[in-house]
Amino acid sequence: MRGGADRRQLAALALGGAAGALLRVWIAHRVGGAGGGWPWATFSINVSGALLLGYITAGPPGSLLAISFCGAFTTFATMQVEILAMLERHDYGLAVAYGLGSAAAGYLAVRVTAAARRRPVAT
Amino acid sequence: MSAWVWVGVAVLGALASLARAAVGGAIQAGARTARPVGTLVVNLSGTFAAGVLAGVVLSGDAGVLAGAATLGSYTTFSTWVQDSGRLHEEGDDSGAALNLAVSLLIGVAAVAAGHALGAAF
Repeated sequence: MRGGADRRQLAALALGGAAGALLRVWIAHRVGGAGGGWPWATFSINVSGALLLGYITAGPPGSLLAISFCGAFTTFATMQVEILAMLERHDYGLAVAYGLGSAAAGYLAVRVTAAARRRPVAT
Repeated sequence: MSAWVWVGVAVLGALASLARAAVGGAIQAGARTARPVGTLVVNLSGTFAAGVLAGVVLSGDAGVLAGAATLGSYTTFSTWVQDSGRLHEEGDDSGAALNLAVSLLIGVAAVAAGHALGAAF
């Protein structure tokens, strides 16, 4: 029982991670580099992944596969490498806007979808 | 990119996700706080390593596999902001703000330090 459950959990973590990595790398590959501007690919990936994770975690214990997908789909390291590149170009305004903007948008995203799931409004 | 690179992205994404769960879980279990130190350690260590890769200017397929596939998947943005959402719901608003600010600021320091180390090689 325990062994089987553990193996299933590991499989869910691995599968979700593989899917998240594939989709993120594919999107980044298709969109290409930010070329000195706002990194829309990473930003959109991170905020959409935060929207999804906020929704999942607001409900009953969510699917480990979906949670792992969000974890791998979104990325912290790539965002920081992009911020470093902005700083090296002395584009400080963009670096601050992108860093703070990502954190704020991601935080708002999880709050908004969690609230929407918990308090469904009648339409 | 060749089909084998995409296979590599999937395999490394899976392994990196398992590593994130293992490292983050172990750090959090050893820490006597509800504040998300597990995610913090994962993100900062992965960001430092990504800085090293940027410093040694690893490009092409190797750069995609080591950087975007492995470190991109090992580190996480969604869990980071979700941790702050959870702290807010638990009434720990200062913890929520601190988590966002500390990760962001030390993350910049980590990627810069990694980059300097990588460039020195």
